[in-house]
Amino acid sequence: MRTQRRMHTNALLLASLAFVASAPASASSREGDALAIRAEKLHVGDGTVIENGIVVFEAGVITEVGKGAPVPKGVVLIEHAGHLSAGLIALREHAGAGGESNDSSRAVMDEADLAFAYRPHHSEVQGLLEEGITTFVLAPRPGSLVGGLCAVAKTGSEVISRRAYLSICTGTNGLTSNRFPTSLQGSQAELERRFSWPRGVFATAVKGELPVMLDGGSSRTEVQHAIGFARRHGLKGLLVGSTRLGEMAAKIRAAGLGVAISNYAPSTGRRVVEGAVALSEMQVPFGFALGSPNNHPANLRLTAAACIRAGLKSSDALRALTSTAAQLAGVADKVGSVQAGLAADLVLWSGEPTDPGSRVMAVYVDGDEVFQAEDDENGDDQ
Amino acid sequence: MIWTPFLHAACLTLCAPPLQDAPGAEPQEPEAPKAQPAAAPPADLRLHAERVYTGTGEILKNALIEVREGKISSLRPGRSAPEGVPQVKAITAGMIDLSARLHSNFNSVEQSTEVQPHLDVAGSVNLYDKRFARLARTGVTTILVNPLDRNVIGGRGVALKTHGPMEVEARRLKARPILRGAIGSEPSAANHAAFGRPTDFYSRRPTTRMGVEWEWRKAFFDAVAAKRLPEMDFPGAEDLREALAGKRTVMIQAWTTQDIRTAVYLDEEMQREGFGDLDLVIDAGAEAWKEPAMLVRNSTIVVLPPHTAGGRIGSDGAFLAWNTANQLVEQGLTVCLSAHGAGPGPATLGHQAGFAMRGGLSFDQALAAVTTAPAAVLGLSDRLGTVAEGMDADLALWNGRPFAATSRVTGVVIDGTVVVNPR
Amino acid sequence: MHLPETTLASVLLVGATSGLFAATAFASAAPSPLTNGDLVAVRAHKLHVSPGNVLEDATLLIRDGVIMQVGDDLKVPDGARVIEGDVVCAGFMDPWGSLGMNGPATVDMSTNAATRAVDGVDPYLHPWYRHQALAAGVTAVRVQAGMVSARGGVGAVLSTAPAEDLKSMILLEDSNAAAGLGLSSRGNPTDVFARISAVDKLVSDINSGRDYAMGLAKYAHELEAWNKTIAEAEAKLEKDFKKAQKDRDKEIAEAKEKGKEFKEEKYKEDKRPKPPKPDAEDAVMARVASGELPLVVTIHRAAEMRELLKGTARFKRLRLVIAGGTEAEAVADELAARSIPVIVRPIPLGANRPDEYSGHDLALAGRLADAGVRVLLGSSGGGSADLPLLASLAIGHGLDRDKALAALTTEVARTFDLSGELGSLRPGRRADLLVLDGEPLLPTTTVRYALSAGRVLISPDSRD
Repeated sequence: MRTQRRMHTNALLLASLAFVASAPASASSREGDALAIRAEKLHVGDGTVIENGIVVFEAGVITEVGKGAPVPKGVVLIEHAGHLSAGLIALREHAGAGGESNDSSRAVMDEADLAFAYRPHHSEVQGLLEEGITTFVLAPRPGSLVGGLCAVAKTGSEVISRRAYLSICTGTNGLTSNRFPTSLQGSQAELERRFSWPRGVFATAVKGELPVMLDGGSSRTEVQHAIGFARRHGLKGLLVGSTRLGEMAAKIRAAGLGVAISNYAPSTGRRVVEGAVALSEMQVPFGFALGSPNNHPANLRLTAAACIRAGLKSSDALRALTSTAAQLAGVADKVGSVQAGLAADLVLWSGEPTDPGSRVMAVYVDGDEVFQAEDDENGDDQ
Repeated sequence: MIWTPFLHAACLTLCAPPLQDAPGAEPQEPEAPKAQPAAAPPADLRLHAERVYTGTGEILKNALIEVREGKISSLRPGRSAPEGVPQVKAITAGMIDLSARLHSNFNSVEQSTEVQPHLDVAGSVNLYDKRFARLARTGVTTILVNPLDRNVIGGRGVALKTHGPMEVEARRLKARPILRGAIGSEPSAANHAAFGRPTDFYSRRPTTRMGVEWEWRKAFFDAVAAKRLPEMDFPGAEDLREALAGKRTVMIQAWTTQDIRTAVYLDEEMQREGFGDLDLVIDAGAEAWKEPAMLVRNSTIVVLPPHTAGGRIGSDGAFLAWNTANQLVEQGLTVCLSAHGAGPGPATLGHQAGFAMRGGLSFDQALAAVTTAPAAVLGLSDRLGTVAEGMDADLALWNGRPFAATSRVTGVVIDGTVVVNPR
Repeated sequence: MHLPETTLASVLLVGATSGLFAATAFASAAPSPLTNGDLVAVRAHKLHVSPGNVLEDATLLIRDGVIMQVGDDLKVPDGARVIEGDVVCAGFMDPWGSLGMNGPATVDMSTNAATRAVDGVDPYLHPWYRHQALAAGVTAVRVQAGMVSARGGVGAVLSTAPAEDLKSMILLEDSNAAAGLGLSSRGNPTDVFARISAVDKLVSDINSGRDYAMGLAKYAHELEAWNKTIAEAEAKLEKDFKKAQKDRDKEIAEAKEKGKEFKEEKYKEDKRPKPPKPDAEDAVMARVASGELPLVVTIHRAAEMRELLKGTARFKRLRLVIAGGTEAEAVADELAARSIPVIVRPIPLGANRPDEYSGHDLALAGRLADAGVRVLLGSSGGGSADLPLLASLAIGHGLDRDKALAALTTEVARTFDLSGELGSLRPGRRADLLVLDGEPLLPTTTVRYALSAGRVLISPDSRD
């Protein structure tokens, strides 16, 4: 984390004299201080964009949003010549666990709690902030049938939901060659057994109270199995891990599941991005998986941009990166939109948030400025 | 969907209504029956062949086949081909391969325990595998998919048509249950002795033929014992007891004489112990010709592996002679042929029948070995293997005498759907 | 406004243009078959002649695949095919790609300096790959056999347009020589000392290239002198052959008298200068040392780059190009001073990247450009179709938008001596250009038309 905090270069301070004395020291709203930002374009998160919108936040929480949102007397108003959006959300992420997000000793680790794997100040986490990612779902790496309970974590801050998903691999990603199960039929028999007479978290999942994160595997057959499995046991949640989910859009919609789009790898990802377009057309709710540190955090936005290039609407891509992702992760009441009452997790961009050519100028988590772009004489390329 | 062009063509040229299992085919409104007679509705598909080899020994000349709802609804010889009805030289029933080996990979058998009679291979079948389509093109319309033979007892096989709905459960045939396993070097191939500290289950499993045989015997003894002592029960014990009771076919891969002998002795030991009598099928029994007497004694069915140029085949280097099928048939044994799937080689199941004929088998016997005999093993003789009214409309369309070196399958119909257009 | 004609070729071509309208009128009387030789007019609201040089509401005329005229006051001649769009810019060039190459050739580890990339071109590449690249706006790719080998061969610049024959795919058959230094082999980093000595080996190879060139020059000089002497001797003999014969007979007689052995006079002819031993690799390195071919060095670590810059400083005519340059910021000043371009790979690499990429930062391109270094952007063979997307990622991490556009167009052309043919939309250049529905390098912008040598290869109806 950058400890040195500077005011944004474009910031214009409108403050009472009493405040000016202390304002340049910190652009934080932590200790009861309020802060306001006016951006040329404010992306609320539901698709609406407010021109010259103002967001006011205090004690880490947004208090007012709107074109003419009243800025309380004495509150610093930062002028941002660019766009503002809620912080991005990565579904299925491994950063902060230092590689310890999967315990491969057993095939079923149903009560493993990923919240205990999270180290907020791990170097892996800081890279996320630089790309405007303020919230992520910490999920087990594939390799087990049941990897544990996913946590929703704030980047560099605390866990805000401990039981976001039960992570399950129904396909080959759950198999290893030297531990039970080695086969798809073995894995299916084991999962059927656990869910047909459910106990513990399995019972909670079957009741629909705990969503699942289903890694179906890569092939269409495996994805079919995963969807069938979810339908058979009435499971709700997210499909992840396959590049072929777009081809199954109708079935996924019928099963009432959401999707975390896999990372777009340059030169191989055509299926992924076309899948996103198909899912969007079928109105299947989806967000984006990341999988850092093995994938670079910039991949989140690059994947979204690749989807846009393939025909996804820019506003839909931004929704998938923010509000839809928050809904899918069950934290829409806390993050994902620029709305009063939600956490002041904000990103100031030099341009359109879904354009990889836009720079992240500043990032706020819970009202705290946790990242600011380095100054250079070129400034932003407006 | 790879079939779409064919299906689309079929819709236009064969006057067939939209095919149900044809995602991607243009939806077409059925023609309004204006001047149609009030009798039977028009056939879904009509085909004409100079010769129909029915599989019952009968050859129908200039026969017209009509298909309704996936079944052969009428079969009438001595007809000329009505206009617009495709004509071919010959039609046989679609061929059946009991050893198609379309398991996907090492994930298609559960190796964490060497005996897994209760696991069904259906869970790892990938219907999107292009080999299904390739097999269908060669006139093979039904196959048996078994677990990979890395286990001693791999589990249940699944009988499938090579074309149809893209979900295994929807396509699965209600065949006689198959319990699949192996004897020989393959189930022990990946295992090793525990030198020092064992690291995984591969050091627990058998490393020799003897160990493999012991696992078989132990499995049956344990299953029988578990009937009386419930605390000894284990997953799959019931499957083994059903096998002993003759309620499911036990299909064992055994390439060499030694391994075939082991399988037969196992069966005979079960009989001696009074445990039951296995309904035994030897798969890949290349060397069945060496000691056929024991097979005759035990009335064992043999599925032969594909012929190779040098005769040697399989991981155990077994030798399959060109006249093996004929020798076994002469001894009164039931023989099925297999091409072991749609590998890269050119030899299809039709070719295998031709090779067996070159080794002395008659045409009728060769036809039986790829149609009626495997249909009987699957317990599906009432649906598959012959061309007759009421049977599944699974047909191989030939451009000459079937199995002749100059002939090939030019058209394929599965469940009444034109999978390969004969034109 | 008319653009100034910069090259002789364009002067000639534009000179020919003055007769254009007459030619068109003639053509309409006797219609010729429709080929790419026909006249195409491209009209745009914004026309990026080159990055930073934008014409509003401009027209561009193409004939025979070559840009004839560009201007905001041009009339569209009768009979021209008119293509209209919002934004027009030059086709993108991937200076570090593999499209069009046979896969194994690009990863061949046994290549040497004399291996030619054009021998590894795969004309049977599936058209889908070309379509993808063109649809993304990439019209040319510099390719290399042995991309990760210690000595890549002589690189080539290929068009991404589908072609019937190999020859028309090749835009430049000898764009550069290449070397790879300190690259991990099968994921394992090489030894640090081996890495430094590999740099020294490259420097010594350049040196032997220079020696070879000097040897050739010396030989040429000596040969010339020898030829001259021989010619003189021959002329002398021709002139007074009888006298020479007499003198010789006399000397033979004298020698006999004195009982001595007669010594024949030696002629220069026996001392013909010997050419240097031919060496294909040295011959390529000779072209490198003389500055004829740029030398693309794939190199990442600062220590190795310092060693390379130090070792090559004495080759004044050498034209170095750095590919990769992960830690190039450390030597940015010298790169800027020596005008050494860096081909940056703006790809997001995760934690499992090779050792030489451990300092990888998407901000590299922007930082180098800020330090005055010439920056090119390349896909490093991962897929040229993604290069525009990756370039926008570089913009998002600090690279100026115009510089990013230059990094895909003018800078590539300049580095590989193709400025007269590619990279900008000036008269005389090959008509490789894009008609876009928005500003270049935005994900929301689509390539409505892509033209290669005037041929329309992507159009709104050709998009899948």
